[in-house]
This record gives sequence, structure tokens and C-alpha cells, in this order.
Amino acid sequence: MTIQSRPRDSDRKTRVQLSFYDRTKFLMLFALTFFVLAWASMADNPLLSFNDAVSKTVNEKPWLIALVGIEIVRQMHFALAEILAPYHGIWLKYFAFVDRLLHKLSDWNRYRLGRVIKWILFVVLLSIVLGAIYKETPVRALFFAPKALWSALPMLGQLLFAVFFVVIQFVAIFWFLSRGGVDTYFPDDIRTRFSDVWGQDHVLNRIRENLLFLETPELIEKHGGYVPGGILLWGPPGTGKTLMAESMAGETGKPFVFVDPGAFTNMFMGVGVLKVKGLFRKLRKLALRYGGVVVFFDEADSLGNRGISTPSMHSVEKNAAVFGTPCNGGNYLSDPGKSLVTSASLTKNKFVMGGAAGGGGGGTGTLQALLTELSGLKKPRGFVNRVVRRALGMRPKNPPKYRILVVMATNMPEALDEALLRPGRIDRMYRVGYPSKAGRVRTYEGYLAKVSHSLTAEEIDKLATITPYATGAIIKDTINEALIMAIRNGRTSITWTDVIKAKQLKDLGPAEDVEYIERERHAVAVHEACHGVMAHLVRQHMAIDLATIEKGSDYLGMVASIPPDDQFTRWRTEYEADILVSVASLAGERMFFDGDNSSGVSGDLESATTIASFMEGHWGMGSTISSHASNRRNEVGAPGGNRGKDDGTKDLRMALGDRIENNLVSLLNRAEEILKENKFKVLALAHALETHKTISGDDVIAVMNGEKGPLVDGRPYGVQSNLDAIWNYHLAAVVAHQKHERPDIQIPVFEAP
Amino acid sequence: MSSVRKRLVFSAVMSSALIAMTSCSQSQLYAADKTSGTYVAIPKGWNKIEKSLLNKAESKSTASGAAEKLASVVWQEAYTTSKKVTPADVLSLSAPDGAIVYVRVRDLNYDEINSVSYNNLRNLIMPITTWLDDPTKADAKFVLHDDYERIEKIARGVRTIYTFGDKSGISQTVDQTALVSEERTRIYVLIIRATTEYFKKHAKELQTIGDSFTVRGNK
Repeated sequence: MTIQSRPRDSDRKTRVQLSFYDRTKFLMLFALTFFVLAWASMADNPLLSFNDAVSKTVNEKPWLIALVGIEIVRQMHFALAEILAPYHGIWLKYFAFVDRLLHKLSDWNRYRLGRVIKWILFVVLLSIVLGAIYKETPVRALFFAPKALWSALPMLGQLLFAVFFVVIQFVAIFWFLSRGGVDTYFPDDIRTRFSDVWGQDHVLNRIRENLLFLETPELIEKHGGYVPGGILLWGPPGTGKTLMAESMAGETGKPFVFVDPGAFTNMFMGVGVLKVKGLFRKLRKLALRYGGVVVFFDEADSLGNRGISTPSMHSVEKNAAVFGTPCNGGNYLSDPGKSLVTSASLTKNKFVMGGAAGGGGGGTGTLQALLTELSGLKKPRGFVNRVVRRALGMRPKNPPKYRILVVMATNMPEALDEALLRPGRIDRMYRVGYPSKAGRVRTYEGYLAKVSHSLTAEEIDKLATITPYATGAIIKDTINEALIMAIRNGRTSITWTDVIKAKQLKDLGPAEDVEYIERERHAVAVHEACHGVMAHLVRQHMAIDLATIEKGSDYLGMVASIPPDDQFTRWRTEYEADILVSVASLAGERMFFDGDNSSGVSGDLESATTIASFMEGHWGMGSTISSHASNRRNEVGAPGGNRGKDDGTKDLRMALGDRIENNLVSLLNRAEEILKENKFKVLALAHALETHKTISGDDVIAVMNGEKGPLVDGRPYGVQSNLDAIWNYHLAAVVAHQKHERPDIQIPVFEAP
Repeated sequence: MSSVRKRLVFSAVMSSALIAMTSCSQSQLYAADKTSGTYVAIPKGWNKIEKSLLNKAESKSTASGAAEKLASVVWQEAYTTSKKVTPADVLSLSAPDGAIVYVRVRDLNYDEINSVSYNNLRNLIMPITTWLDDPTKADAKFVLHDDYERIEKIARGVRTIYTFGDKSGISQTVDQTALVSEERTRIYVLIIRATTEYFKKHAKELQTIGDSFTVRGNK
């Protein structure tokens, strides 16, 4: 069966029937026009009756009647074509004939002819209309048109003024909105020099090189090179990026333009683009006047990106879940260990973060405008250059080389747009990391020089050692906090104790002054003492900074460690030690509380598991050597699955999770053994913690060795009878723990020998 | 009805409507001046005397201030039942053949502005207020038929209908409407004049002309 379809127009014998609307639309339009005109006549003459108005319109508007007549003839023609096939056929043949004639012309000529005819028609119609208006012959009326146009010019002028008035308001609004956010400092305004930036010498040396080219670009340009025009300073907050940029301006003797991070955040779309253009116009002007200019975009991440996140360039150090647990498990880890745990827990949120970083900036067009300005077309500028020279037949001159050094600073380089970082825009990227120990010493000395203090050179050195990740801002803040403490105690000179207390306050936050009930205090103290003893015994690459059981905002107690040296590689034994310190709390709680343990170990276990996973799957520190990272990336699966032939191979090829668990269990057992051998040391440290709440690393060592420490006298812990008393107190606390009551023995107090 | 017949009927109706429209004409004449906003409806078939002809006739007047008055005429037009009536007949007081309708709008001069009153308006052609005050001075055939106030949108005045005897003793009846603008600067006059005999015979028709006199002013 063939599918029936509606016949094509070419297959029809008669014309397609018109719809009622198409048949009557022009007649209705004419009728409407007619009645409007009649109504206008009646409004014009109050005596005119409707009938007379109709008659008047008929008599005075013959063109309308002619149009109606033409439309009726047209409709009759259509009606006939719909009814009579021969009639329709004649017209089809006629149209085909006309088409053939027309197509003898080329398409282009037809188009040109069509345009000419349209223009002629337009002029004819215009002359007829003008003739009717001026009551002249159409041809004469046509010559009145320019005069009419001339007389209408004032009105046109008014209209143009109205348009101009509206436009000028927008221009004014946008002009005002595009102000601000950019501050210019002239060479004499800035007193900061490179010598004011401490601890970042390696970066400064590089920047000095850039400035050299800014001052004498010929050095590189005459050899065919170009001056690197963009520097990105990235690194953790407070490391002196802004200070560095400021010193750069101070050193060059060129104007320094500071771009506010919020400058490109605007209420209206398009203002950001205007701001960028305005900024670069200003920069070019300054560059020409002073032979160069430094522009500094602070917090460049605020420029936003277009939703493409660049690969992470540094380890993100943010508070992950592990650092918010009651025991603050993350603090037992060395710093790289911490960042590992953090980056691992952040991995799953990577996409979300990338998406979030896509926001910000000045909205549509701002970043693009900036990209274009940074490395846009080198187009000729200026009216005379572009127009007058061209009018005289001369080529416009290319713009001079503007010496603009763009410096950007950010602590979130991954939030920057990839296109912004390409060479030609940002040629050099320098990591402004944590200052070196020498730098920290220099910084401490710098800030201490501004206050009165009694710290010796050794103490400053030690301070720099125990604050490995201190930035300039942190050091400044610590010294200031120490000064506040000194003043609060009625002194004006800072002592070593003030600095240490200030550091603890800054590290831990203010203690919440929560008094534990005795059995809980003992449990927390034992928990922390296990970490402390284990850290002291096995973790040689870190030194204990402090131990505390004072409850803070997000922890019950903690043992914080610091690396004594700047170290860049990590070893299996060190990671094992990290895990031992982490799992020591679980091993200790189970051992000292008859197999019981608290939920406070969750953070410790998370850290331990993460490190164990990396050891097993990434670093070749386990029983297999393939990298889990690449296995996962290549989707080949982890080795394992119990498919080995003999038992030995089977053990080796267990699933990754099982291997991690096995490693952790063996380390837990090792931790238990170590703690068992040192159970008195654990209880002694717990006792010291219960007594003093917070003790320094030196005090921990003093308690272990039965020596006198800075705060705690550890000598009583070398006496067996005292240790027996502590043991009895512990037993009583365990009973109290099990029965949920107060221990029947008070915590023993020891007199100094 | 088949669609073919429908289409034929539609075409026929439209064509006849078109023919009917082109053949119709107005039921009466409309004397209108848009600049002053003055309108009068005149019966169909009357003869129109253009402003230019009236101006020409008036310009021949030798009366004092005639030229000044002519210069201040805004609009004037006359309609007559007889083709024999000339522009000069319109402006004279001799008995016309048939009826004359004369409409005139004129700006007043400074003295006229200060002196214009309803009695002045009544005495536009004949001193009828004097005649009424002192009947001994009145024309022998003088009869006042009607006298009342007319208020239009921008002007007010009086309509007076009276009979008098002209120089040759023929009795004429005049339906005279004289209005002055609110700011007293312009006068609007409609005079319908015929022999009393003719007036009586065509009273209704002439009355309607007087009633149609409308002054709306320039919008």
C-alpha cells in the first residue's frame, strides 16, 4: 500500500483554496482604515452625520476605494483559479514563461535589477505621497522633500539630543562605576626595599633579574629576546608576597599600580571590562612617561577563571575531618604526613572545588578583557596616528614597547585561568614558600628588634627551629602576642616564657577551661601519654613540641611535634613511626583499660590508615611494588585477589585493603609491645599531664628520663615508690571508669627531692 | 450551498458593496472653517458663494473703516437658494431672491473689544434695541419674533429673529445669531435673510440652519 500524501502544488489542477483569513485580511484592513477615516471626519466636523461622514470619506479618499477594488479583483482571480482548472493553467503557464525570461539574466544581474526597481518604486511612491501632502505634481513635490528635510532638522536635532541625553547618562553611570580599585604609587611614595623582605632570598634574586630587564630592556632585546612581562608569586598566605611586590616597586623607581582584589567585582556586567581597559590605558600612559610601570594584582584568584581548573601546584593545607576529631589525630603526624591525609581526603571533593573556583572574578568578559590586554593585538593607537596618517596615505606607526611588569600574587594558583598563566602573559611563576630557618631567624630578629626583649641568640635560633612553618605574618603576630602577655603581667620586656606561651596560644587557641571529671581526665592523659611516649621513643625525625590535656575548641588534648630540620625526603621507617605514634592511643587504651577503648581514636586511625594506604599503594613500602595511583588511573585494578598458587604468593597478592589492614595490625601489636615495656613511663607522663595540663617537649623528655625539665621536675618519676603510687592510682581510675564513679584514691602528689 | 457558489456570492457581494459606496453622496452641505472652528449645515442644493468673491464685493464698500474690517475677516461664506444672488446682494439689505445664509467670523479691533455688548450684537444690522426702547422711532414693519441667549463652547451671544421693511418697502425676516468669543476678541455671525413671505414658507428649513450654527473654536 502506498502512503497517501497531500498533493503538491505542482500536481494540482486548480489553485489551493485560500483560508478565510487570507481571503478577507486586506478587505478587513481597508474597512478598518475606512472607518477610522470616517471617524476622523466626524471628529473634525461636529455637524457631520455618520452617513455623510461615510460619503465624505468615499468621495475624498478614492485611493482607498481603488485599493478595495484591486483587492476584490485579486480575490475574484483567486476564486476563479480555485474553481476553473483551465483558468489556473493559463496563469501557471504565464508565470512559467515570465520565470524563464527572468532566468535568462544571471542571478547577480537579477538581484541588481530587483534593487533598481525597488528603488524606483520607492521614489515614485514617495513623490506621490509628497505630491498629496504639498498639493503639487509628484515630480515637483519631490523637489520639496529636501526643503522639508531641512525644516525638520531642528526636530531631528532634538531627537538626537534626546538619544544623546539617554546615552550620556549610561556613559556617566559606567564612568563612575568604573572608577576605583586601582591605586597608583609614585617612586617616592614607597620606602620598602628588598632588604625589608626576609627569608625569601631565592625568590628575590629571581625578581631582581626581572627588574633588571625592566630597567634596561636593551640587554635582552638587542639579542633578539623579549622582556619577561609577568610574574606570578604563589604560596601560602602570609609569606610576604605583597611585601615583595611593594619592595619591587620601591627598588625599581617606577610607578607602582596596586589593583585591589575586589576591583573587578561589579554590579553591572561590562563595568569590569571597562575597568580593565581603563587600567591598561593608565598603565600605558605611565609606562611611556616613566619608562616602565609595575602593576600588582593582589589575590589574583579573584580574577576568577572560566571553569577550567589547572592541575594543583601545591599541597592544599586545609582543615580536613581528621583535624577536627576530639583527639585531633592529625597533630601526631609530621607535616608532610598531614598534607597527605588532607590531600587524600580532598581528592573526592576535587571536582566540586574545581567548580567552585570557576566563580568569582568580575563576571563575563572581565577575565577575557584582561587576557586580551596582557597579550592582545599590537594595534596602532591615537587619532592622528590612525586617521590622519592614513588619510595622508601614510602607514600608521606601531605603538612603542610599553614596559609593563605585571605581578600577580595568590595563594590559590589552581583557581587561576590556564590562559592567564601561559608564557607571554605570566612568564615566570615563583613559589613564595615558608621561609627557611635562616629566614625565620632573620624575621624573628627583625620583629624582636622593634620591642624590648631578653631572648638570647640561642633562644631565637631555637624559636626558629620549633616554628618550622611560620611565615612573616605568623612571626609578627607571635611576637605581638608575647608582648601583650608581657604587658598583661606588668612587664614591658618580652621573655622566653612569653614567647612560648604566645606560640602555644596561637597553635592551640585559648584553652576552654573545662575541668574533666577525674576518671576522664586520667583517660585523656593516658591517651595523650601513649602518643607522647611513642613519639619520644620511635619518632626520631620529629621532636615533641608540647603535650596538653587542656580541652580546646576541637580537641580534648594533643601531642604536637615539629621537625627539627628542614627535610625533603621521607622514609619508610619514618612513616612507620608516624603510624606507631597514631595507633599508640588505641594500643594504650586497650592495654590500660582492660581491652576497652574510646571513640577518641578515630582521628588517629584515619591518619594511620591513610599513611598505611599510601605506603602500600604508592610508595613501594609494602609487600607489592605497583603504584595504586597508576593502577587506578589506568583502571587495571590493584594486585591481589588470592589467585596465587602457593601460600607465600597468596599472602603477597592479597587485596590492597587486606594488606593495609595487616600492616596496621602488625604495627598495632608492635605499639602494644613498646607501650607494655614502657607502661610506667606512660603513666608517669599521664601523671605529669594531669598535674600540669600542658607541658613542653623538653618537659616530656624530662619526665621520661627522670630529670628536671623547664616546667616539670621529672626526678620523682625516677623513684619506684612513686611509680607504684601512680600505678595504684591508675588501677583505681580504671575501676572508677568501669563503674562510672569517682576513683577512691586521689591523684598522688610528689614533692621535689 | 457549495463552496463554488459561496465564492461567487462572496465576490458578488463585495463588488456590489464597492459600487454602492462609490455612488453615494452627502445629505447636506457643510460650511466649515477649521481655523476658527465654526460650522453650519446647509441644505443640499443651495449655492455657495466663496470667501474670495465676498471679499471682493466687500472691498468695493466706501463706508468708513470698511477696509479695516475686511482685513480682520477670518472667514466668510454665503449660501443662497437662487443662483441669481450676487455677492453684493449678500452684503446689501435689499430683498433677496429666495433665502441667503451668510456666515462671517471677524476679529474685533481695540475699540470694538471695549464696546461689545449683547445689545451691540442685536443691533448688528438694524438698531432694534432703539426701536424696542422707543417704538416711535421703529420701522413700521418691525416685529421682534424671538430673542434669546446662545452659549457655545468658546463663545456666547444672542440669536434674534425679527422682521423689518427695507428701503423698497418689502418685508424681510432676519434670523441673526451673533456671538462673541470668551476673551471678546472675535465675533461669529450667522445671518439668515429672506423675504418674510419666503421665510414663513420655509420656516422649518431656515430654523434648522440657524440651529446648526456651531462654534467650537480652534482645538
